[in-house]
Amino acid sequence: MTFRTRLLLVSSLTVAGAVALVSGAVSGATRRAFDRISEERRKGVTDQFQREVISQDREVEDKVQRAAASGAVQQIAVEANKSEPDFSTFVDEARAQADAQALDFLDILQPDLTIISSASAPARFGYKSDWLIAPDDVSAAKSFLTRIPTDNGTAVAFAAVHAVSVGDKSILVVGARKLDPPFLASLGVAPGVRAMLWLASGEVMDASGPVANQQNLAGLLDTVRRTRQKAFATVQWTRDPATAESIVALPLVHGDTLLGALLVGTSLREQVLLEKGILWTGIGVGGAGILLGVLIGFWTTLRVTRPVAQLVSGVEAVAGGDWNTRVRVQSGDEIGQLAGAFNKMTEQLIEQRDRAIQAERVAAWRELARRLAHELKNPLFPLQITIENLQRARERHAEEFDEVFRESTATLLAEMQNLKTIVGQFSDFAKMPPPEFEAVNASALVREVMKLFEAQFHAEGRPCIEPMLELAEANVEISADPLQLSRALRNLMLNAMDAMPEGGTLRVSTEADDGTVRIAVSDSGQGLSEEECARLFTPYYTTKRHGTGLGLAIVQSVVSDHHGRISVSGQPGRGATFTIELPARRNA
Amino acid sequence: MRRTLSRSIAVISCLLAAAALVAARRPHYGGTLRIDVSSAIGSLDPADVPTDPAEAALKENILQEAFDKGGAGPFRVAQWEPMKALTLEANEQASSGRPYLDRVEIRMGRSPRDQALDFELSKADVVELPLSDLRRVQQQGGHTSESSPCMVIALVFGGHRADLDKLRQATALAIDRQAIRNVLLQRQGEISGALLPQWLSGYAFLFPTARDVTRAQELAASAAPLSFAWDGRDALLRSIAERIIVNAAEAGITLRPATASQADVRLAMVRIGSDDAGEALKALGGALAADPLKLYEAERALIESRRLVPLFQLPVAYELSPNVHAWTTGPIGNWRLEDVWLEGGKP
Repeated sequence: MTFRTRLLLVSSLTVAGAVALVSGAVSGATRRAFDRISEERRKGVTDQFQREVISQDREVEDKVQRAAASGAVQQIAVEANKSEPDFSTFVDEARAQADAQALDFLDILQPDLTIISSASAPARFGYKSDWLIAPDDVSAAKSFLTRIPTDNGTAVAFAAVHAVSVGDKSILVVGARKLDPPFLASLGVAPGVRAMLWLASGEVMDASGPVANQQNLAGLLDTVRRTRQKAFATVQWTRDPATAESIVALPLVHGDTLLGALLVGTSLREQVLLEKGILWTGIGVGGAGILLGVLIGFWTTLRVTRPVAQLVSGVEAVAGGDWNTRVRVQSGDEIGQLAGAFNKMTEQLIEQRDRAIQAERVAAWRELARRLAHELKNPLFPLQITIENLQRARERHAEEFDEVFRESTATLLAEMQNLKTIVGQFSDFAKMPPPEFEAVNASALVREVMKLFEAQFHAEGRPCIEPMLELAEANVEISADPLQLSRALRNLMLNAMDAMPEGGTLRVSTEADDGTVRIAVSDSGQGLSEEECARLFTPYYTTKRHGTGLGLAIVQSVVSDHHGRISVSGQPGRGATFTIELPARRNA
Repeated sequence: MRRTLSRSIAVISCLLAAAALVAARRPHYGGTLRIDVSSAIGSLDPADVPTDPAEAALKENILQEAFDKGGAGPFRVAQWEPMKALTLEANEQASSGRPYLDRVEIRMGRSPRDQALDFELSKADVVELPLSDLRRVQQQGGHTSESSPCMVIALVFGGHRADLDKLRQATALAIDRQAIRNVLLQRQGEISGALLPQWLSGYAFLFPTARDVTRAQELAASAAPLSFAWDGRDALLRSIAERIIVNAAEAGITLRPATASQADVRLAMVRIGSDDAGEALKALGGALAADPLKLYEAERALIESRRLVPLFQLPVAYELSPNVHAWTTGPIGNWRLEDVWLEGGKP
């Protein structure tokens, strides 16, 4: 990961984290505020609901009282005081009273709760009432909750009982308002508030009928069953969070019997939508913040890393040989100082290189002069001796002059030839032509060059040299000038043979490795010292007594022209190995 | 002198009052008697006998008044709207002499509520009176007429359940007939375990009607529920059926409301078709017999074979306008319109 990427990532994450923290904090604060408001609203709604229920209670009490005060009920009470009361003519009276008072249930009972007339179960006259009525309910003359069996199951109702006494005996009028969807609809609840009823038999209803997904209330109802206390829960009815309701369960009990619970649900739709809005706004602002952070980070990173990148580019250029590279950084910070130091360093490097080149040139010229002087002096000295011999023979030994002349002229010609050879080599080195590239199989080229020397390996009067080829066949195609490369190889092989005056093994190998073709020429000769290895490719440097020092310089020049490199390794007494590395031909 | 004059005036007044009283009690000719009935018939063909007992009774009444004696009956059909109305007019050529009434208008298919309204608004002179209201109307001084018991209410068990006979016995023992008669029937009719009423057969009291819930519980122990049907249009049958369900539940028998075609038990009301016991039993599906002992055996066999539980013998009742006189019904509830006269007609 680059420094720029890392810097960009860090800055972006910092901005994103900050935005997320702010969003989270705002969202949390909003939620807490909403929860507080919701709690207050829930309390208000519950209080209002309880007032409504109390109002309904009183209404039931009033209705039962009115029914009890009716003439027909008074007649029943009078009949009850007879020695043999006959209630048969009043069997439908409860229904009439229930209709008149708009009560769901109304029973007229004897004090022992035997039914005289029942509006909801007219056929049960003479039987005991099966309503849940405690003695306290009768004596308290207040409304109470009761459970009433019906044809469709069990109903829970607000009931009130009123005793009608005429004479010694009394009768009871018990009326009730069923807790059902119409009852729930009649409750004056605020908008967004829903009244529901859970019956202990398992049914859950609201003003419109049975409630769907009742299983979502299981936890809340379990709490009510267990504690018989007011309980609270937030219920999400569907996957849509907007369907969530804050529900307060008010248990409906009669004595120790849990009859059900009134559930007051406050819709959280507005809250959820608002929270959702805040969330999306947070996400939007956060996203924009992150984007802005990324952009700012990118810009900042660019500003910070551009000089560094320029420096890297400058260093790479210097490493690539372009020492004239300069980094243009105008800031005065550490990066600017670094850039200034870099520029100063390159300037000093150039100066040092120029001085080194100058020194090397001087040294090379000196070496060349020394070598020229040496090379020329070697043939010149015999020439001088020969000419002096000729002069001396002419003056002192005229009779031997012819013979001396013949030998001397032969020597002169041989030395002249030496001079010519020396001049030719210098001339060749000077006019090395640019290579003409073509596809060359390195192994095949090695074999061809090797053939040129086969006659010399086992020639009589010469040390025996054992050739050894280890040539790869695949992926050894290179782009090369075969003549120049062949010449370089010949030079290396000649050097190797010269290094083995007493014979030995000449091993030539080729191999392909990762886009590079290596050609290695090894001898088992006297080897090279470390210093010799270091100076071996310097022009005019030679370890041989008779050499121009241009052979390896020519090899290096050829290899360099082929975009390759040459190296040498070896130790004294253990031979030397020259390795040429050339780029493999593409699409080979 | 003055005293003599006063006495004379008093005597004359008494004579005038007596004359008015005598005149008022003397049958009057003329007038139109308006009768509302809940049943309706669509044909006057004697061969087409309705299955519903009330419709069959209505048709028999009409045929008796209009077509009896080969056209020499008291009335003849003046206007006929099937299922709606029938107007009879006095037959001047009646063999028993012209009836007092000029016309009789019978409006059919009138619900009990409509009949009550018509009566209150004086749009009807005679309306059917539910038995549950009979006592109240009588206590309020209303004019009523009721026949002898001529309708039998019974439970009819059907199906092929193995325990049906036991359940029939259990149900019969579980039903509190007395409470039903006292409250729902307002002490009208008779409790009966027989198909034919006591007045007709003379042996109806031999059929048991006592309640024994404990025995019923033993017989019905762990019995599966029975499906139960009744005619929901009849308020009286409905209330009796509901009470039977409560009584049966007390004995551990569950009766579940069902349609008639799917019911194991059906609460039915059957009309006694004749004032002759043998003929009546024959009409009910039993054997014709003249000897009372054989008749009793035949009725018992009929109850057993048809898996019946007779419950009550009921009369039919009517509420009459005060100006209707001489309204009577035969022992099996048949009308006798030829003797009826209306106050306000020509003396």
